[in-house]
Amino acid sequence: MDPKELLEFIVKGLVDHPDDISIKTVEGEKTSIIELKVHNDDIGKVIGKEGRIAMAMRTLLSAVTSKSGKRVKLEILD
Amino acid sequence: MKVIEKEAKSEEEAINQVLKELGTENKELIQNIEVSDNNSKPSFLKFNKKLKVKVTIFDQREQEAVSVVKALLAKMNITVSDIKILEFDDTMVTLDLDTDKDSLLIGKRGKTLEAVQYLLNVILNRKKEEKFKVILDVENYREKRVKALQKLAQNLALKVRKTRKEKILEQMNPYERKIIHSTLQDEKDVSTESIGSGVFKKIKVYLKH
Repeated sequence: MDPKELLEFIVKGLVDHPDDISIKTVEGEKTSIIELKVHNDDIGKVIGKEGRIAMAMRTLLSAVTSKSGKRVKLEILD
Repeated sequence: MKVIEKEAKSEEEAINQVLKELGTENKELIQNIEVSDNNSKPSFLKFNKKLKVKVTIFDQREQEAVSVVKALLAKMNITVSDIKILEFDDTMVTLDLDTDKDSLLIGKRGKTLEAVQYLLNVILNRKKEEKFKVILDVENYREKRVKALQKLAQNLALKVRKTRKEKILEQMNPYERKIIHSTLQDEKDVSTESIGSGVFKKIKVYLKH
C-alpha cells in the first residue's frame, strides 16, 4: 500500500489541473514527509475551508500507515 | 434509485430489457436482481412460463458515488464486498458498506469514516450545479454512535448536577454536537453550549442559574 497513490487519487479528484500535481516522499527514520505540489490556482482546493480538506487527507494517510510504525507527514508546498 | 419489474423467459432477457429501456449498456447501474418463479400456471403450460424479475437500478449520481467510494477505498487497501442503500431521495443517499477492514475504515471515534465521507462529497460535488450528499455507514456504525453519544450526554448531565461543576467534552464535528445538544435540550437544570471556533468545537455542559 503506497500512501502516495492514495494521495494522488484524492488530489486528482479535487483540482482543476491534475497534470500539475507533483508528489515527493522524503524518507526519514521515523517519519516520512510527503510533499504535495499543485498548480497555484488549486492550492485552496487541497487545503479547504479552515484546512478541512488537508486535515481529512492527513487523517486518511495516517490511517493507512498506522500499522507500518512509521509516521507520515503531509506538507503542502506553495 | 428505482425498481423496475419485468416478466421474461430468463434473468438475462429481463436485464437486457431494463438496460434497453434505460438506453444504456452499463451493467454497473444494476444494484440488485430479484427473481421469482411464476408458479401459478399448471405444469403443462410451463414451456411458456415467464419469470418475474425485479431489477433495482442506481441513478447516475448514486452510481458515481459508488464507483468513487470503491476506488478510493481500494487505494486504502480496503475491499468493498457489498454496498446497500439505506436511505435515499433526490438530494442524498446513505450507503452501508461491507468491507474486509471495517475498523480501519471507521477509525478512532469514527474519525476516518468522517474524513472519507467528507473527501468523497467534495470530489463528487465539484463542478456540479446541484449538490448531492453521500452519507457513508459501516455495519450500522452511525446508529450505534448516536446511541453512544446520547448516553454520554445523559451521564454528563448527571455528573454536572452532582458535582455542580461544568464539564467540557472533547472536540466534535457539527453532526455529533447536534446529537449532544438535542439530547439535553429539554433538561430543566442543565444547558449546553459550543465553545471554540472552526468546524470542530467543544461542548460545555453546565448548570443553569
